[in-house]
Amino acid sequence: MDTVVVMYLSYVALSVGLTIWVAQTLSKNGRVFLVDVFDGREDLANSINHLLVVGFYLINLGYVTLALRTSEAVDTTRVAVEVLAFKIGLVLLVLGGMHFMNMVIFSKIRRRRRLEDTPPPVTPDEILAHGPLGLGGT
Amino acid sequence: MERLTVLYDARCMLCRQVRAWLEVQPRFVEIDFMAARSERAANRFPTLDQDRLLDDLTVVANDRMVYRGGKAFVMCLWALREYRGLSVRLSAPHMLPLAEASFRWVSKNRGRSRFLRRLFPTDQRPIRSHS
Repeated sequence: MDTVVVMYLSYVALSVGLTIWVAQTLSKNGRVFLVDVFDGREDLANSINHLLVVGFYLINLGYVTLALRTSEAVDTTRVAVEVLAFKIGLVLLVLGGMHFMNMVIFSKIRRRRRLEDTPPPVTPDEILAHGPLGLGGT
Repeated sequence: MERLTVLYDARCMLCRQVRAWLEVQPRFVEIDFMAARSERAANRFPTLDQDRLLDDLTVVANDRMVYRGGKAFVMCLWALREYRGLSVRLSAPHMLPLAEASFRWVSKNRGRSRFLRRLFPTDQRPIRSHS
């Protein structure tokens, strides 16, 4: 086998392995978080989590395969290692970027949810004896 | 708490502009506006001290809680989707006195301040407030 093919195969194996590892981390930990945000509704949390993970795989595996090819003359092991390192580095950066974006999405969902439940932040100056007339006041 | 009623000085340009702004904001909680010292307000809230209503912005919730001055304004922010976070930050112990003092200053000078007039330009001269 040509050096370049060996390099390609190593690249694919490493990149796919890394992608799966990061996806599983996100899936496992993201799920816990989503269950909390959606008030214990596990089926809803699972479904949203699954959708996010699918999207994650699509984008990352898409990038990995697109970035596979090299126009360098990979004749020696040294060049193979250098090119491989460079490509894996890019894959890691893309995975990191996607991971970061997931965190931002989660944190926005959480913040929105928490805001809706936030009670009035100040204490009243007075409490009326009777409710406002003309409304269903208690 | 599903509804807030805001009792404001309807003669004041600044107040009317803020009301107009509040009306178009996306909100969590419904807001009704009522001119202070109007018959409508007196009828709706017979137990509320009507004389104070022109001095201080007053917000009454449908669970009978009454908020005045800076706190009333914080409650208006709390009702809005995009400003609820701000309302929580403004109510922190180290922030609330500052927020209330600022609001008191604006309230007192709403008829007279050139600075406020420049911030909230209108075609007409604002009406001088009682206080």
